[in-house]
Amino acid sequence: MTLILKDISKRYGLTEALTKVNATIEDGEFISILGPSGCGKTTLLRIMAGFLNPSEGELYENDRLISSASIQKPVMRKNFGMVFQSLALWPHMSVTQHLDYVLKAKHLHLTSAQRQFRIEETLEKCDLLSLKNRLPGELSGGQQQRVALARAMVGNPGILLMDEPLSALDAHLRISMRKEIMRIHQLTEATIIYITHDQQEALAMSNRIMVMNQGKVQQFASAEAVYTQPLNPFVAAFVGKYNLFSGQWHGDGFQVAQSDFCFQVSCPNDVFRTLGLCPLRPDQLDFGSQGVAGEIVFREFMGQYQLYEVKCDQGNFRVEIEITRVFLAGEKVFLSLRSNL
Amino acid sequence: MKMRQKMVVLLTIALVLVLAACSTNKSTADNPSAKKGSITLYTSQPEEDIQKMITAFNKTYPEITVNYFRSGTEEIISKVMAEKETGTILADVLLVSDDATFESLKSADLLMSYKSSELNGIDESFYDAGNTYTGTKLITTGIIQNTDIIKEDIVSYKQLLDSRYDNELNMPSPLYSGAAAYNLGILTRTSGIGWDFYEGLKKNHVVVGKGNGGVSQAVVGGQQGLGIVVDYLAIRAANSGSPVKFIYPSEGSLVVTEPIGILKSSKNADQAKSFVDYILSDEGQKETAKIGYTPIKEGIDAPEGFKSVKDIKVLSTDLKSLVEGREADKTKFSDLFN
Amino acid sequence: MIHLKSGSRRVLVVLVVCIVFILPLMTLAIRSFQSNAGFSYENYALLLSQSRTHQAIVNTLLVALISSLIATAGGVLVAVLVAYTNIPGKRWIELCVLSPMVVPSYVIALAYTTLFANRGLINQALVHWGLQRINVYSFQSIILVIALCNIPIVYMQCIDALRKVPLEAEWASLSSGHGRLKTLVSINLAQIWPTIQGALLLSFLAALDNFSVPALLGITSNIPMLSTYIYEKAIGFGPSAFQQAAALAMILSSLVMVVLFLQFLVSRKKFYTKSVLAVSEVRMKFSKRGKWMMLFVLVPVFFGIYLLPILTMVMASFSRTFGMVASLSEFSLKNYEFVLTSITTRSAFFNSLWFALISVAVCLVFASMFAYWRVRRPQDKELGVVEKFIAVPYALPGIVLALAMIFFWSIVPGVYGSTLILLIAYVTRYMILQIKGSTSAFRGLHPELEEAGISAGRNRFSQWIRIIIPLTLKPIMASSAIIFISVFTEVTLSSLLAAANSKTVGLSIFSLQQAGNYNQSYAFSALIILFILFIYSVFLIIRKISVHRRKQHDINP
Repeated sequence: MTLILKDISKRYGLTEALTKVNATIEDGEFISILGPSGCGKTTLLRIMAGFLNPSEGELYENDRLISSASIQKPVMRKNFGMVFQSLALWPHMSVTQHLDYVLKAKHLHLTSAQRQFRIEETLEKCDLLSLKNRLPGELSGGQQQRVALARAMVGNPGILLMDEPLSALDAHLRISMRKEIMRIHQLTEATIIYITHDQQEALAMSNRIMVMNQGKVQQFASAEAVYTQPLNPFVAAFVGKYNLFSGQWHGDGFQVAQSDFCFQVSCPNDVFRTLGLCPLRPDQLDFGSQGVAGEIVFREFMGQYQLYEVKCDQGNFRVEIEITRVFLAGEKVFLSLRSNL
Repeated sequence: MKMRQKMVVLLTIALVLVLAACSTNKSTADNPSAKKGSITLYTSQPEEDIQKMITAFNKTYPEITVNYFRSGTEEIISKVMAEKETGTILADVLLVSDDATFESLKSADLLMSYKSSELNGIDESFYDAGNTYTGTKLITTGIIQNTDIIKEDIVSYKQLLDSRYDNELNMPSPLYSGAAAYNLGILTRTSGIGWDFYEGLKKNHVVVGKGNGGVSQAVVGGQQGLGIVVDYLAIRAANSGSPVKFIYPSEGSLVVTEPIGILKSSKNADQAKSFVDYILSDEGQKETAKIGYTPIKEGIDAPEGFKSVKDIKVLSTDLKSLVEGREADKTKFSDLFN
Repeated sequence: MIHLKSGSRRVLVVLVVCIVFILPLMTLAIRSFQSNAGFSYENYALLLSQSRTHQAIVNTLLVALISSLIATAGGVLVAVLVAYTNIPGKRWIELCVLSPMVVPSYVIALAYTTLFANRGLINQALVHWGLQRINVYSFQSIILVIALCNIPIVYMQCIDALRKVPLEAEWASLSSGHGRLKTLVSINLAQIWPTIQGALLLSFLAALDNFSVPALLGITSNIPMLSTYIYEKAIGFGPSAFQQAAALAMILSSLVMVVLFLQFLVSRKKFYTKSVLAVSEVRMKFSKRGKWMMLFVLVPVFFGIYLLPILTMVMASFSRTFGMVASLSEFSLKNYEFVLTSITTRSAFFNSLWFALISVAVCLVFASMFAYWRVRRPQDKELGVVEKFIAVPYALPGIVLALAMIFFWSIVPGVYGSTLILLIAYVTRYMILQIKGSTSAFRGLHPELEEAGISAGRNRFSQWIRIIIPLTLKPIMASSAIIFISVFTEVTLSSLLAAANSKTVGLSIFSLQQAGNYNQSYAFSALIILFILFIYSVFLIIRKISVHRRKQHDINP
């Protein structure tokens, strides 16, 4: 089942929450919608789920129109699971009852025994067996999140919509749940649309990432492409944590403003050319004998490398240096391209 | 905390003063002069009637305030008894339906003896030897008929038992109205009527309301076609154009005199006596007739539509058995109709 | 007294509360065991052997049960319609449904007696079509009128709870493939089930307490109910009558205790929900056709239930004789003339007004102090118990409290028979309402706000005027408004405690009806409704001003 978004816009009064979103999501893809708070991710997800009407534009499932501005009641797809940011657990039902309720939906045609089996299976997968009779009020935040996930998965849906499902978890749990979700994706081949504001998560889990800002899609491409070939400064800064040098592009390189140094790189695209910005990742830079002059202001030990923040005339830039070389705050350095690029 | 607590104390004092001011029982404003002060009257007269009487009374005695409490006779007596229980009877004067009621109050030694100067012209039979209560008007009980609903002539109580009047009958309750209790006592002791009469009424699904006011309203308004009710309500309604008429039953009429009496415990005896005097005076009796009752004093004309006492066939029994039997009668009635 | 040590202050408060709120009821309990032979079970034995008592108990329980079931069903239904759907005219619907909070139950009962008068339009039509007349003085009518009066209780509880069910909880159900109706039942209603149970119990209690409807509709048709039976005994003749009334009151109170216990059990079962804000989005959209169909059904139903009886009553109040105004010749202002000029009705009006104002003032002062204390010093645990004591006279039926008042306060000379006893009764009964309102108001007031005021150098007094009062005015005034209307239209306590010079509005209307002066009771009722509407608008304006002033001073918590 292919999901096609055509010119989807959503207006609340005078505020534009979404502007002309166009995308095609193939069956079985893992798509992350990545962006800062307020960029419209949740609104877009709700439109895709059928809970909201777009103000303009259309939503198609294969060839079937399922939502548009004029359709009063968007068609509620039968076969999708959703994890809400607020979890939306039912306080009066136990964990088992949550799963049972979902499985009792008429279109599934499951017998009591089948339901029982599916519930046990899901409970085990989500490590909830020992909690199966507890009410949500008796569960911790992390346990509640697992219940929300279990509830979304238990019906074996063809499409899973998740709104920041791991945001409330601690680092450990987040990583193990991340793996779990990816495993589910592998096993069930369901389409997963996953909202997050954590670029690491998006990069790790998705086939393609839809980067959004202020209601507009900034880039919709594979994880590698978004990371290594950002289409505009926003994507560059948000996903790859690129440094943005201002200056001027010319034939064979980039002339850094307020400096006589020139980076020997090719311009990624016209947007950067017009804006006069050069995107360079911290791992693409090095301290050299010549380059953009600056002074080290901060040093963060990141385990595998040191992250230095260097203050230059233009602004502050970040550089990744291997831990064997140590520089101190206050040292004057020159930023240049790393040679093994 | 200091400021706030000061405020609180001030407020509390202010509040207490206000409460004290408004809870002043007006009847404790004692005044030696007989023309000033206030009395508390408990009466079973209809509100409009007693208000007119008080207004007229105040023309002669403008400085005496009359606070009144109005309910059915039986309820008034219960209230007086209850007040006696708690130690203070609040009423000064009682003006309720019938002799028998006053007799029982007399035997409980609650009444003050007062021989009014206005007794001239009032027949002896209308007040007791000890002058503890005096009749104020003549009220007879008879039949009210809505002529739009019931076309034929109704002449007697017995006629009401006819099955064609099923669901068309209304009567006051002896448990509330003194007149009704009085009537119950007499009718059940009159041969030819007796308890059978009441059982027959029950068979016709008679509606037992509370007071005579309700009966009158019901028949005037057409809820039922016939009712047993006091004369003045029916006659006044007929006189103001309602399609009703009052019938003095062939078996005879039951007459009560709505006596007035002063309670022994009254702290406003002087003012109370003035009130009694007024009611029994010529002016008071003329006012009574004007309001719409047969006056009890000779020489004062009865209003239009009312028969005078000479023309009425009066049913009665000896007072003593009425008084003694009242509670038992009420209980038996209550059992019959529950 | 200004600098009472905190400890002795607490003892004083506990003592005063016990004397005012608890002792009267204990006196009642003791009296019920008194007879001429001293302490005995005689009263209970006699009463419980009489069929009238059995009948009264059975009737009371049946009326309470059936009316609360109907009220709950109706209240939940309307709450769902208003909270979740897009039907037009929600304001009007809410106004109608909540009208019994403003219009006293005896006026509603009166209005229905006019509508279904024996020879009124409806019954005439029924007879014309060969059907049975509807008798409004019947068991069924009592149940229906009480249910109508209690729907607001259910509605208010449920509508807030319904709005707090998160949209996403519904979406989670819809996304699993369940339909709209199943979601409504299994998710929304299931989640607010404890609220529904609580509302059911509350309306059950309200039905047990109701005196005026059984009095108006049941006394003349001889339907014994405990509340009116107690009244009849209390005004009945004989020394043992009072004790018997006390025994009946204890029986009624024990029924109430059972329900209160059930309430306690239910309230502990509240499902955990993260604190949510109420949402007013429409969740169930009717199509255009659907909307019109709903209107087609709802408008006549609401008109018939809420407006028609009142209209009929008002029309009858303009009639010279009993019954509807048949023609212009019957039209008369006579009844209004009587009501406006009669000493009784005028003094009743001013008495009730006076009572209401003083009750509100007294409750405001003491409740606010108590609430402030309670909120700022949560470590004084006994205040919680004290508050429960204060709540008892409100939880028990009014007629029971009235009787207790008589027994207890007649010890103090000059109280029984004066306006004071009625005032004491009102304050005793309604104090808890103001405490609850003031407590929630103060709870919402962060102590840091006050401390900021102090640190800015203002003294306590201006702190109260500038900060505390404006911020807490709204919830506090809401409670005061309820107390005002309750005292102003009250009839149960007045029926036993009013004296010749302290008649109240409720009692006046009740007496007029009992005496058979129906049209005058209608006229008075109509005027009272007008007055209440006037007061309500005044309160609305005060609230608007307080909000406006708050915005002006820009104090936002």
